Amino acid sequence: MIAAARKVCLMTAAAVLIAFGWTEKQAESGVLESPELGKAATMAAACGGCHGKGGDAIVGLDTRSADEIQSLLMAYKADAAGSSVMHRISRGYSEAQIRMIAAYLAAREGR
Amino acid sequence: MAARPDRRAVIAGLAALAAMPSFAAGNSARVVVVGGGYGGATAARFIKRLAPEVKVTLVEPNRTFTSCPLSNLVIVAARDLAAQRFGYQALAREGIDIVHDRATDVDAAARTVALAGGSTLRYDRLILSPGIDIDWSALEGYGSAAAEAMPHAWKAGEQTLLLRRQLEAMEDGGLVVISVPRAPFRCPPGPYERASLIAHYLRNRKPRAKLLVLDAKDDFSKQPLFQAEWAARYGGVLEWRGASDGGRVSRVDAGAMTLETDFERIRADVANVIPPQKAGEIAARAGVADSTGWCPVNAVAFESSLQPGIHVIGDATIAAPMPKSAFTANMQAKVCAVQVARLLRGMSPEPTVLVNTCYSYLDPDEAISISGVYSNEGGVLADVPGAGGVSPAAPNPRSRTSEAAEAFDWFRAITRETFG
Repeated sequence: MIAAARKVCLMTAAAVLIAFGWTEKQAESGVLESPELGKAATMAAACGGCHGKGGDAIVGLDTRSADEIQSLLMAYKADAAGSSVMHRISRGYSEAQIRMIAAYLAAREGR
Repeated sequence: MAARPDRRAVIAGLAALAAMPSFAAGNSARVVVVGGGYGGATAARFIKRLAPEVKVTLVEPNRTFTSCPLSNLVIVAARDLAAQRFGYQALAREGIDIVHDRATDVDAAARTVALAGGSTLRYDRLILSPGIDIDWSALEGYGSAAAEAMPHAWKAGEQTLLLRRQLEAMEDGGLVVISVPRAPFRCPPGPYERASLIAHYLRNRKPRAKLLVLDAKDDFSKQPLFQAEWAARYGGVLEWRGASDGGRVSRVDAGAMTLETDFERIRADVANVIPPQKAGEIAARAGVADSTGWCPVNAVAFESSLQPGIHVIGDATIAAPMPKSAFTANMQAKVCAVQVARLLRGMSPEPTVLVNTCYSYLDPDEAISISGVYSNEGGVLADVPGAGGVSPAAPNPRSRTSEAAEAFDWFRAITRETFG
């Protein structure tokens, strides 16, 4: 228990985020300790269904900053005439939710 | 910028919790997952990553999984079945116990799962992701023997190849019939994607052949888009008949290769009978399926409404407006994994926002899509107003081909997240 606590103390915030999900690393997770992070993690879980390492038609999220992800999602949300999958999905989130998702996705990649 | 305080707040929250002692779940916490498809394999993986101390066991009879998404391309010889197959080696490497056996019974009071091989698994939380079973009693004349002559091809594998061989062997000028059941069933747009691809195949390979779709419904997923595209592409090849026009098939005769509606008996050269379905058999054994054959859940943690301690995800659930799709199963699995891990630590599950996207091919190079965004507040799934919808009816010239490319990238990403 003490060793586990010390191990968690030594982890940086970003490293805790890495522990959740889509990187290859296995570690303990802070997602289970905070309702806010749990919510960010479950909302961001929607992204992994399509956005892995990226392909020819779907971009990867592993090289994007939180600001970039947030700006892209907000632009999709604001573009009433847009009809792509991302336009249709982005309209389902508030600005605050988009901020949480973007921060989570960027931190998850360890930056 | 407005983003900064919030992001900092999230990171700061993280740093604060990183400084707290870890309240690890008991070393003996056990999660059993039944079913190794897009739902079960994903759930097992995410629980193990979130809470490595939990003993996670995945029960799945097959050593390889065969994906239904993209299998309609296999039917029309535009893709190899081998590209649809995935193993469980990556999950085993991550510390998940893979038990290749069939779950035959669940004792919800004792919290045990019985396996066909004779052993019993104990669990603290059980996740059932059994997919569908064919409801063999629901269509007169249709059973497992009849399915060898009139394949359903609604579970990918040998049935997929059987339908492909029948199409290849059919003489030009033959009649292909697809029979579609009433909702709910796995992959709501799937029959219409299949119809599109078979019509494309016939037009190119057997130009005198026809495709008749007999439907037990009058409405279907992406209907205006499909019907406009069919008129433009496959007029003279593909005819769709809804329930009001006598489209509902009430009986089949596999020996005579006939399908009967209320008004006529139709003889097919190739008959693809997509039969009525229900939740995979173990759901009924576990007492989590209701009189509809499907499983009601509280959608915050996907815990059964009928049996506490048992969670159900994927095609087996009653989750409308979320459709029975691979994307849905994978999405529900990730949400369920977080909430199960929280419950094992004595914390409450929290509602969130979920997504589904399904691509459907119109031909091997062009596709359309449907998306939805859902809230699960109060345990009830509901569309988030103003979000979701389908591809545009009058797209720019490249939109159908770029959606086909997206479909392919989606498949690579989701299979990698689930099995890779």
